[in-house]
Amino acid sequence: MSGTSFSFEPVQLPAQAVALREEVRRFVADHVQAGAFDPRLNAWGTRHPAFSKACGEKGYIGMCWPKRYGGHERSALERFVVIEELLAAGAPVGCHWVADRQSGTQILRHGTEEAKSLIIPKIVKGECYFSIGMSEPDSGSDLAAVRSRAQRVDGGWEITGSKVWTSAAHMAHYLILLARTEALDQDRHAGLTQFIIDTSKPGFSTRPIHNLYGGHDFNEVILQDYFVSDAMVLGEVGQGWRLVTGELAFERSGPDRFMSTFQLLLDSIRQLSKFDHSDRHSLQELGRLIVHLASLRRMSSSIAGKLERGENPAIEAALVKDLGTAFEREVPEVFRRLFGIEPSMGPSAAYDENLGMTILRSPSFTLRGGTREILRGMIARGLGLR
Amino acid sequence: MLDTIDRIAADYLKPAAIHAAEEGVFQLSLWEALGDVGLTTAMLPESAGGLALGLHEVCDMLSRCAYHAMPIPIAETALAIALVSASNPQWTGPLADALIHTYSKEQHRLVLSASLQKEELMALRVGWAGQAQALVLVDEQGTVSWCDRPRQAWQVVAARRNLAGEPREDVRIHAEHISTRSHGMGLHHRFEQMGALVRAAQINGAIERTLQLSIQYANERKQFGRAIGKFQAVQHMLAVLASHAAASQAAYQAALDAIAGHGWGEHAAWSVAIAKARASEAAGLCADLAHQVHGAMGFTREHSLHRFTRRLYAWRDEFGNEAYWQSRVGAWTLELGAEALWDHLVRQ
Repeated sequence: MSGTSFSFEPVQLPAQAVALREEVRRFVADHVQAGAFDPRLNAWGTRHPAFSKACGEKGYIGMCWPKRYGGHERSALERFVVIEELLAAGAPVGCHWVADRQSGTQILRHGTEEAKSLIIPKIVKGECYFSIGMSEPDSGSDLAAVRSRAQRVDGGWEITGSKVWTSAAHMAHYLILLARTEALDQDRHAGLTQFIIDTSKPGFSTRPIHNLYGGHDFNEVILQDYFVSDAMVLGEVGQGWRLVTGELAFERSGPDRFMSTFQLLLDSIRQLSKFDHSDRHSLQELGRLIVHLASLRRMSSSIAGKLERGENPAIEAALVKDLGTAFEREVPEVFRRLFGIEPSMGPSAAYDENLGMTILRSPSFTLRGGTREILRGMIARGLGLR
Repeated sequence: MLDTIDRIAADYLKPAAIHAAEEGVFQLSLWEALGDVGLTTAMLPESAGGLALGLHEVCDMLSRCAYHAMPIPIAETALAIALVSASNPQWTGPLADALIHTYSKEQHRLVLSASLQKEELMALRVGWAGQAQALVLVDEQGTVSWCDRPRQAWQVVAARRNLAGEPREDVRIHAEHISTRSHGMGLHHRFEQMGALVRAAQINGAIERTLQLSIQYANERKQFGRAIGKFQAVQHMLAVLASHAAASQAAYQAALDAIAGHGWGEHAAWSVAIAKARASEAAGLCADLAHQVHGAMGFTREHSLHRFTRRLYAWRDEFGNEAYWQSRVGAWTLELGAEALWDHLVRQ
């Protein structure tokens, strides 16, 4: 292959993957049977503390992390299998999702011994939730424009500033927060540092920002003279840009970036069968989605293979996220047209409400974790443009 | 092997040869150069003058030939050999040098259901029939036949070409010259799948070249005082092009793996359908984007872009376009049902 195209090498999933899949499926089915959740309402946006705790007990959190912090030292490919099974089953993994996907790994890579031993075991148990403290009122896609300011004080740093669009900050125990530790200079990427913020400490507060359909996920986070000790600094002071881009690679690398509407796809297939939509046009539209899904899954497993080999697939992850989120958004659109029903607002799993809420959620798919435009810029750079 | 193909392309695809090929002159020296290293008969056993390559390697070879837009029937020949080998391994020897297959939907109906009764048959849109020294025929019952007496056995009645200018001719075949027949269950479907896989391989090769040409052009062409590749709008088009290239390639690799792991069974049918649907969809999209990046320059005969994009516009419709394969996948998905779909996807 030439230097211009990206390679997605095939991976061989480990032999134990088959048994692991069965185990996860039984685990989820038991919870569904017990009435813990409705899988049709799905996924990693849904927060369910008891389910997260059960995931922790089962060993589905911190799977690749060291045993000395409570992790399970399993391979990235085993983790991939568990993650994709949970997502496919519509399991409500929202509470621990960010901590498991990125924050815990970030702390293990760059945190102090104190931070690791304090926090990682709690994440692994499914009892400790994280939010992402990146965006600010004047810093969205342009992350280097953050203004939250950390000033050196005795034994640590004092932070003042605000963050926005901070999902679930009102439920989180911690945030990893990017702040400026030096005044803005010529090099915008210099002088930034990541901190672990304990949301129970004084100086931390949140204010809800309701989203377009009235849900409370977003928050504004306000830090006022918030003290954070040196032990809660990630990496070297001033190296935050390199750290945060590494964290984003994890944020973008998983199957959660194309599985958000998978349960709606399944429910739509049930509808197609029920109402005997087997005309050529319906089959073609359905088939196209399955073709895209199968290709995405192949690429996603390849990224898991790259992670397993210790590579940094940041650009490949951006590419899969761009294609994947476009796919997620197409699912409700295709079936809205095919069924000709009027989608409704409402919390139930009835098809018209599920479809309606998915349509209302879908603008976020191509924004969260890096907009489509930012991702395409990264891909272009990977192609040797710019 | 890929280096060999690159070298042969550099030696034999000079501007004069490309021009002549566009005018319909068969590139015999290119064909012979590939034949000399065994690539035209790559799948045949070494005893028959081939390289005994597996399907995966042959497809990669065809992909690379497409990357060079080689104006020769190497893919059709590979398909003919694969079909004949699948129906009767004994046949491969005598066919070693000169097999060109024929395929079209119409041909199935015409040739195959009628082949044993009628004296004269029509086959439509046969690849390179005017240049071929042999035709391989397959019917819906899986009967594979061949004839190797050009001019006596068949005549071109309409010299049609696909959008890339590749010969796709209507021919009249005289039944008395159809020599040997062999029968294999499901060979008709197998042939359709092999054709789809081969076209997917070729599409991916041509997309890769199209992407490279577009990046190169975007970095060289200056407007408003800077390379157009500095403009976000252009960057994003190229990012989309690269993404669809990668997705198409991934689907194709999955099909090769499925065949390597499970043979030509249900896994192959599913994954080849996905590969061709994905490739055909990407083909048009990538060609469109490449042209948009290249501006008017890419719309000329002089610039080489059209050699690749016209093949993309042609190949996406051959052996089933994306809509055809999508509806197959859609039908299988409904048969599977929602509860079995995920397990089916992860087992591929």
